[in-house]
Amino acid sequence: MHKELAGDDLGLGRRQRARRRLTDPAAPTLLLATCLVVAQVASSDVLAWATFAGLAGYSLSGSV
Amino acid sequence: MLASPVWRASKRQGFVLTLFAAGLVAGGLTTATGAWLVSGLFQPLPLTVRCTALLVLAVAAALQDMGWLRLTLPQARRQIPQTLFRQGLTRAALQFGFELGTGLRTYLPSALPHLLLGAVVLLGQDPRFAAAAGAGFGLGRALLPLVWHASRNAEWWDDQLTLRSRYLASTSALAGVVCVATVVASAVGR
Repeated sequence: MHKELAGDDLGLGRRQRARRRLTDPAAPTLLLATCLVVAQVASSDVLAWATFAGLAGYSLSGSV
Repeated sequence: MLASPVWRASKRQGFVLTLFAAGLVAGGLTTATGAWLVSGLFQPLPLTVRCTALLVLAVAAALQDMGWLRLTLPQARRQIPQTLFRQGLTRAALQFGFELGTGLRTYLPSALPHLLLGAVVLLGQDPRFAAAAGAGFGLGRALLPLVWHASRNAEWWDDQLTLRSRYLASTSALAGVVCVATVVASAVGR
């Protein structure tokens, strides 16, 4: 799978590659994981709840 | 992947996506308000009981999403009707977003929304937490069309989602357990 993904990026410019990395379907999961770490470090219960909920919402990706 | 006629609209896509996201947040807040009202009924239960129940639910949800458990979870087994789109794109985007945001009107292919609902009912007696859960759920659902739109390559994005769907489901399942552990730890520490 990784080879397939890497091969797919060949022939793209730097900006296009960066766009693909930033808009990868896994990117929101990484963002939410970061938010969870921030919530724990900052002891922010509200952010922890929002992150949990964001994850639940994003887990429905692909369904309408 | 199922294609939504709203956020795949060819005209005024940014505007339609904004309305759709606003509808999602409003829908999430509506369900969270209902869950918050119900949470009052569970407040008399000892905190230890509520926390233990939520941790058990979190493990069950993770096993379900990783395919190791096959429970039939409550959900509306239908798509939102196409008749909604006869009312014009603006109203359809808002209403479609709202109905998806409630999490009550269509399929739920993951157990995490059920877990979130359980968490609000069991530990969400503070209205700020319920509001964060509702708005967060709507924004989380909005992430898909927003990132998809930003990719500027729908076909590539759909392929990536298909390729990574199993990995994303497992990651989300484990992250859900971590989230619940965080919420439980903060409830116990208060």
